Amino acid sequence: MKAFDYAVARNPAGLAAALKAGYTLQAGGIDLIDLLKTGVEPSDRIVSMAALDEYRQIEVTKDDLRIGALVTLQTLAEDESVRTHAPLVAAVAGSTASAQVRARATLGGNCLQRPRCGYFRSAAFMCLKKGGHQCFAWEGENALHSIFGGGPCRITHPSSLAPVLVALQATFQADNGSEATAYAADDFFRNTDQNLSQEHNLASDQWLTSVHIPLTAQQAGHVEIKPRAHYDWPEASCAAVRTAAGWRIVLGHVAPLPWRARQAEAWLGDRTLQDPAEAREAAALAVADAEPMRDNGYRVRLAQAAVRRALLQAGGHPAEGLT
Amino acid sequence: MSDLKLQVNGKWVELDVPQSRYLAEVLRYDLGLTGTKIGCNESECGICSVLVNGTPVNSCIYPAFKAQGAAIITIEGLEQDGRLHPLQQAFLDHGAVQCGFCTPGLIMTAKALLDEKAAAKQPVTEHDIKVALKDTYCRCTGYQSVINAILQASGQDVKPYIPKTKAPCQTIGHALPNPDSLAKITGRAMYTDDFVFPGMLYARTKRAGVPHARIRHIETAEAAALPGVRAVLTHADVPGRQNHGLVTVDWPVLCSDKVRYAGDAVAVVAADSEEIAAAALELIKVDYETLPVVDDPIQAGQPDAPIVHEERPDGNLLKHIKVRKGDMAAGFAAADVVVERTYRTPMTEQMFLEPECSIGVPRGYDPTAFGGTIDPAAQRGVQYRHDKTTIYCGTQIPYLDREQTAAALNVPPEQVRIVAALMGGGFGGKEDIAAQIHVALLAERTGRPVKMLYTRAESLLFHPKRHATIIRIKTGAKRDGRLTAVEAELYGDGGAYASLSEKVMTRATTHASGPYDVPHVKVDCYAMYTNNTPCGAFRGFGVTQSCFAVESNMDLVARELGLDPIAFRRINALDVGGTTCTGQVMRESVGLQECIAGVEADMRAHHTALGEAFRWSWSEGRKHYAWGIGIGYKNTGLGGGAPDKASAIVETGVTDGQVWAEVRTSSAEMGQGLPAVLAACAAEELGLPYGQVRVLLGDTDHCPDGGPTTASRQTYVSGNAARHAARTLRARLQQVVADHFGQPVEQWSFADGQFSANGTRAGLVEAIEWAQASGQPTWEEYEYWAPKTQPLGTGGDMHVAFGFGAQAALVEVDDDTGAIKVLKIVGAHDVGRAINPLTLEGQIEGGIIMCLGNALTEHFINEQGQAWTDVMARYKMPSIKHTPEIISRIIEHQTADGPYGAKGIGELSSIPTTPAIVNAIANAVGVRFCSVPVDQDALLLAWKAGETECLCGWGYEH
Repeated sequence: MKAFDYAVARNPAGLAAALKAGYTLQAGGIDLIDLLKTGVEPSDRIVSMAALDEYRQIEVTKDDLRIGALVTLQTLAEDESVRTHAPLVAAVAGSTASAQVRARATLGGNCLQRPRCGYFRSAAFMCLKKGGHQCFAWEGENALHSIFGGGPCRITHPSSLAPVLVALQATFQADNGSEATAYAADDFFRNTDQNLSQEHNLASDQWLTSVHIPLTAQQAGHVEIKPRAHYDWPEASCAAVRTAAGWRIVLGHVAPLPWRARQAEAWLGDRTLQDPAEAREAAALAVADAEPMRDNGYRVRLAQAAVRRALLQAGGHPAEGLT
Repeated sequence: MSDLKLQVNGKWVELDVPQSRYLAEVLRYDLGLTGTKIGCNESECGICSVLVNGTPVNSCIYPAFKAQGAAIITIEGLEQDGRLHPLQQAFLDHGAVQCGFCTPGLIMTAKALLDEKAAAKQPVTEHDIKVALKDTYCRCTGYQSVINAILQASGQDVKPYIPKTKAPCQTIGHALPNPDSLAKITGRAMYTDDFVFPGMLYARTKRAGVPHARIRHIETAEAAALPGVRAVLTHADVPGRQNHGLVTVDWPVLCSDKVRYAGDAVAVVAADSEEIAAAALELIKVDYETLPVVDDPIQAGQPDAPIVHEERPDGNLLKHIKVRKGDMAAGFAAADVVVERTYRTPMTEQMFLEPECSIGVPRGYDPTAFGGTIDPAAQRGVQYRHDKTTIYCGTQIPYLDREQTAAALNVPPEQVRIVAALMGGGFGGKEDIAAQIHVALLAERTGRPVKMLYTRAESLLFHPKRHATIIRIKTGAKRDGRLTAVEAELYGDGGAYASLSEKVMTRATTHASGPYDVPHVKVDCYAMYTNNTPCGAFRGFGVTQSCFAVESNMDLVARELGLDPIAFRRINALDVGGTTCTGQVMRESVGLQECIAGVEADMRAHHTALGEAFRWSWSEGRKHYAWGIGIGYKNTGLGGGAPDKASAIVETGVTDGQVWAEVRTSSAEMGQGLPAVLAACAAEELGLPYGQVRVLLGDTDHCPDGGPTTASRQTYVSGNAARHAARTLRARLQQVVADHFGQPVEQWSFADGQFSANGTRAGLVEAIEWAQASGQPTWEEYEYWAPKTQPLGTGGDMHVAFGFGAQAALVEVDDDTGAIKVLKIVGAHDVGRAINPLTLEGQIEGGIIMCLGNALTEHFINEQGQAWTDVMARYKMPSIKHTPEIISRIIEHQTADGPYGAKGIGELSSIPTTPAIVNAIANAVGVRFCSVPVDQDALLLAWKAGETECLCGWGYEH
């Protein structure tokens, strides 16, 4: 068992100091410990932010719903204001992982968890993402890898909440102890051709403090496809949200970041999906530019089904999608 | 080190522990609360679940300091004033505890659910249970008993699910909990890693990491110099035999000249702590000349293939196994229809939840020398002075561990003692030597106890798996449905060492024409060496693979002939008077027709209950439904001419006026319920209440040899040994009583625990006391020999008995995603006689769920000899969410020599499941899968492309 120092930050200043000193941040501790045990995360100094209760608040303003980064998935699933103002977020949080994990996993941790790629997670493979020279997925076991976003690394983003937050146009609030920064939904996650070593835009001294979700959704639907009805990471998901500005259709688990189906969004324009056939058309467009590899072509079909079902749900025809 | 303050089970404790300690470690190793188990160490299996301030957490990844000041409840905290918690009682009642290793995790997770529901004043539903426990694995039960137990504990009136069986005797035939279940549900049960000996060291193994290489040099000086390291051993430190092996002695204790798979052991280290031992591994430098890798059994047979064992005469061929019956040309000439396909099955993993652990204790070890104490009454354990090299471990074959360890130590076997601890599952994966020899060597070198606990990654990398196979099978039949000929060719990937490949692939071969009376059969099987992880025993022992191929082909032939799949099977099913492909004429105990009829009745009953006619397949919207059937058989016992015997001792005594009996044999319990069988046999013969019989297993100094726990043989052989020992002892006691009264023994009889003759009576208490007073032993050892069998190729009885089974699966396939759900399994199994219907049903349900995984999810992936499946999360096995409704029928065609007519069930229940599910999928969507696990993604693509057969998965070119 790898030994490490375990510090608990008592206030944001303490957390900032620890991060500057090279400590690795822990929120719920689900993903980090896993990476530590398998030797993928080299850190031997961990700072827990679990004692910073200011990041556990949930607040509703006239414009948005503000959820602290340390709110657990269990709370997200149960909290009345989340259920009322962001029902998609509550539903996804409630269906993620196990009771043991939901009790500890946080909103921030869910968004910032590392990819589940088997090569990345195995100490036996020095892959591109870990500083090696090769992404093994291109030629190897690639059934669970990306169909959108190109390379050089073919991970899929593991978060179930992130696609929903991006579809809802949430802003991601960060801090470093002296300065707060707000990242727009479309500027928070990044693709592997922009940065290989991390999947988001936070600087090394920053942490996520909260997520603000505007109360502008007029129609919304979300579908996750877990073909074996159990295993934690869905093979495709889609969050579809319509505001006055039009549709945002965001695919999860099929690209290195929450993936916007822009062609489908553009085609839908301001249609309200009175006709179920529109959902089929949009779904086909959503996967038109997919680039599957040898073993993951099935994900194109799953992604298409997810988009169709999410749109039908948003359009008020959920039964059409489910039968 | 820092101060940690916790309230554990109501008591405050303060500890000084490193900051990197996890809660599970603090509970187990610092507080001695070993009821909390660690299965995967990566929050995958859920069995380490404890409650922190009422919330269930995976304690293996929960830093202890995160729980600073919190209230923790563990399994040990559930009993109140000596009374079991309702969940504990319910798990006992329903037989929901088998090997017991996951039980604390299941119970703690269920407790959180029950507490939450009680607080909300809501009833608990089956759905709630499936959601709450979906990430808490159990590998022994089929979860049905777990669900029922939790429902009962929530206050609902749910009875244990026990199929109808023959009228019970006094004890035989009654549903009774395993004698060790109470210890398991309270957290008191001791598995190997639960022992902490005073002065104990911790060991780790340096593994090859490369699949095939010549060793140029091993440098250990730097590791040996690391402070805290007590010993570093290589091949040069093995005083005796350099290799071990169950059949062929080809597996190096520590590699010297080359490594043949990535899991090969090159050096072992013992140190003051596991951390130091792990650090020392990094300092051992091995200079390798890497060699080309062979990772496919067919490629292994090619002339240019890299050779795994250069010293062998036949290249990579481990064994060519043949079955010949009749005249193939005549058989196929007589056929109206011939179907030929090639099937593929991948390596699969036993995934017992307890990783391998061994503790070696040196000869002359005195715990008081390390601050420990001695208990004069102890016969083993941490307060016992050890007079010989002793190994504590979970093992399926204690006496062969002893023999192999002694050979490596270069001492007679009697100078080594194996003490079997409870085993957290085995399923065949704990038959080969793991670290037993290593810890013995390290203990003798350092003079201290040495523990070697494998990490899950190491366990996955190291131990033998189920063979990957390629099976070409050609089946011929006449228009009237009679099979005329079966020809098959099998390749089995044996991996780097022989393990049990020869035996496993022989079973695959001799079962390759199925449980049918086929006049002409020819089977050739090639077990091959490769640089993959060795393959060996795994529940089903080769028959899992060949049954899948046979039964898939049977459905294809039935379709060609236009026959109903069930009718077609019934025309050909073995019956008394039939002949197997090895030439064995069945004289008795063939309940196969009844099994098939029972399954058909239950399939029909499903539709009758819905008020509709039976149908094989139908669709509702985007969902497609169908039934599929599979039938199978499995030998009981070693067979093939191997001497098959087991010995047991039954001892009786009187304590405080009450008679007790103890059964002792080395045979292993790994969750299958053997102690219940042995105790029932002794209780029946001695007329004792079941609860007054104790069972001691696996201590080679106290238990006679019960032989390997494999081949579904223990109920038959050890059950018989216990039964005959008890019977012989009873006869002696009868003689004692007759002598006491000065009457001829023939006039005495025994019933209901009493001897009687001519109105005179004597109880067991008196009989035992009179025996003791007259200096006669009150124990008996019996060596039971199973009827003689014939080697393959010589005809005659190759096996003493076969278990038979039929299963049907009802599946649902989603049009949009290819997602497959198994909704229901109906099964009927001929077990000869149900000795204990409770533990029997556990074996049946567990076997079914395990092979639901084999059909749909399980695949141990090797890439070029490197294990890609190196964490539990990368091996998909069924969870409680996959559990279908299971309807079970017990068929009892007794076998003459079995105890009370019983034969084996351990493997049988898992065998027909795979083809039943795959056949159901073919019936539902029209796509036949010739490989498992059925790749739902490939299914979707093939189906949408209009294909009718799908050749993909392991072994296929992409």
